[in-house]
Amino acid sequence: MKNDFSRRDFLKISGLLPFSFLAPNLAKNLGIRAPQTKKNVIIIVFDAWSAYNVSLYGYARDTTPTINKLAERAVVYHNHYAASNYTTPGTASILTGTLPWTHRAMQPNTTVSSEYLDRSIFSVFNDYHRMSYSHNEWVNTLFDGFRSNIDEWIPRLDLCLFSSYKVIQDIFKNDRDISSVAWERYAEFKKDDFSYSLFLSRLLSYFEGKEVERYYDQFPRGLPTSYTDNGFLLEHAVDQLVSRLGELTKPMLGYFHFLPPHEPYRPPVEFSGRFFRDAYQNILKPADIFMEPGGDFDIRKQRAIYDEYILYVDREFGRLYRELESSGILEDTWLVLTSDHGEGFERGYIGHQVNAIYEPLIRVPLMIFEPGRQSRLDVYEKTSAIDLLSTLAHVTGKDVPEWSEGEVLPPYRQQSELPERGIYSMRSYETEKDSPVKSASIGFVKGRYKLHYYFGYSILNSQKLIKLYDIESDPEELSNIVDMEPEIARQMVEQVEYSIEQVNKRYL
Amino acid sequence: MKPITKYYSRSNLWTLFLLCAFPLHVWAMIFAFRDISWVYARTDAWDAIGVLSYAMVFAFVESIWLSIAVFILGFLISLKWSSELRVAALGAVIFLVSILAMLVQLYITLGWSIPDSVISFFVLFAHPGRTVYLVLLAILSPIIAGTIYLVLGTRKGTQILKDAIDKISLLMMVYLVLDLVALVVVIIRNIQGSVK
Repeated sequence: MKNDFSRRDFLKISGLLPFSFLAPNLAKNLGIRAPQTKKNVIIIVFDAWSAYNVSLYGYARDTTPTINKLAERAVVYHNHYAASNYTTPGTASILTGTLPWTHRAMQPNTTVSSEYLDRSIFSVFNDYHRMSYSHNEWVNTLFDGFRSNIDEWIPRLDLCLFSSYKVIQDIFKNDRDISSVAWERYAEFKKDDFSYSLFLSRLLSYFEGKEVERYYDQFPRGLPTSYTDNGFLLEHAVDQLVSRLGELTKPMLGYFHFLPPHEPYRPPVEFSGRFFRDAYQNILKPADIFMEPGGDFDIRKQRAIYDEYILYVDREFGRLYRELESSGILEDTWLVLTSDHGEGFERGYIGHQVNAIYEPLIRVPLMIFEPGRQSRLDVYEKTSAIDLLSTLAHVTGKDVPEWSEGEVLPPYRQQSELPERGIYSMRSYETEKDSPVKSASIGFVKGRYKLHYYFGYSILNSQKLIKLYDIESDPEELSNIVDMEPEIARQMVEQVEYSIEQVNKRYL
Repeated sequence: MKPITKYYSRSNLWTLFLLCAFPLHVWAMIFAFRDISWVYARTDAWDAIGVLSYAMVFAFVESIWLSIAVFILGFLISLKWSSELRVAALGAVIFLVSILAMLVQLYITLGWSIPDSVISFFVLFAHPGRTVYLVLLAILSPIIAGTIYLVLGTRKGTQILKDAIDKISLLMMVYLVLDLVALVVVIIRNIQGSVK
């Protein structure tokens, strides 16, 4: 066979060799990305974001105009449940693919049990560059537990406005937690407690206040904050993440957990007042046993501000999406949008610090933007936060870990329906890692029914409280049908009690 | 310009530093010890000691800053006064200002409130906040100046103040030893990391 490639040709091509060293940087600067065989995974979590208040899911106020449009290229899950009604267990369930009574991070601001420190989404994607960030301190406590499996844990205050905490954490970077607690007690000027410092606390409060003052015009209700920072802007977090993601060349798993729309509700000026005097009518619901009856006007007002804050989330997610799209990252990425738990404005409560387990507190948005999808797919099957880990492992070609309790979500699993599956969501604020569950609020959704199972509370005189709702015909949970459907209630109660018994066996 | 040594001897500077450090340390220790139990309940004894140690180290650093401010303030005092008298005067200022700072924290934390009539009066001004500060300054300056005059104006008063300064300086030396221990704890924690 005659070789047409002459010595002369070889020398000509060799002359181009030096340019090959420039190519990667050039491509990066031009926004050109080499196609990847492994897809990135980015999970965006907005804290305390209830599906109840999302127009995409039928809410009367148009709270998510941008996301509604983006959803046309996503798989939209309509009945997705968080594993708890507050951050620590809810987030730990997303990250470990297990229920709170399994990972044991049931008390606030705790980590998962030692058994699960190496069983998380970060350990599953161990061949990826694993990144995490959260505005929420409790989520950072969870990251701390998983840190041996996280390659890049962006410090919480890095994406917040200047605060003295950041200086302290930079100086004492090996002892961030306790140095921050000490600094908070030393220098934080509080209205309800003494600070250790006589003078510094006043000075810092003055200077940090000056920094925040610059944003008064943009945020008339004050800057978004987690109370342990000097405020932050979602815009800054989005900009910095996009910039950082653009620098990565290795496939990446990113878990980014932003605080809005968690309280304090601080919408920017462009959304402030948008829903104040609109025609929206709260559905009046009777005060629940766990809740002190509150003024209806205040609930209406707070709901309106929360809804305005969701508009901020909507706008910034839209911006993040477009940035990822224009930089070419999106086409190689599984992008997940969800929340760790919901938020409620009914039955006498505002927020989520309640022992109840009603739909607004646990039903959260879930959208999966898969690479290359151009059409919307609506999924109405009941799904759980614990399913995310299995699903993401499955779609990226990894083995679903045997310790994960979740299922692969439709449309990605082979089997079309899982008819007998029950979805759990629970709050057990008092249960320590090594103790049996002695008091809890458990939501158990199966088919069209949802069981509320409360036990171990002093307000119930240690009796059980059981409620049953047909959430398909009564999504607002107005009619307790436990007496009308005693057989269904009995079966579901038996199933819940059996599960608790199994869980508790290990700790008795 | 006069050399600094005209204003302060080395022992004057040391005494001033101890006087500044004393109220800051006492206040910080009272509340840091109060917090030990809840930190211990939530984590462990080592973390509780850690919070206390950081508090002591922060108090030490704040003492240095306060000392520098007081040191600069000392240049305003006439050189006709003896150096001992000048230090005594500055010591009195430190104590009065510290007591005021404590009262401000108590006022805010215990929820004491100004009578409505007083608030209504200040609201009448174009800049109520500034007016409040001016009025406070007008009231406090003569109180501080008067107290210092009364104490330093009599031989007995001066002697009492000097004795108090001596005793406080001695006590403060004990606190400085505690600061040193706290610094060692902080260093160990940062070498060791927060791994448990």
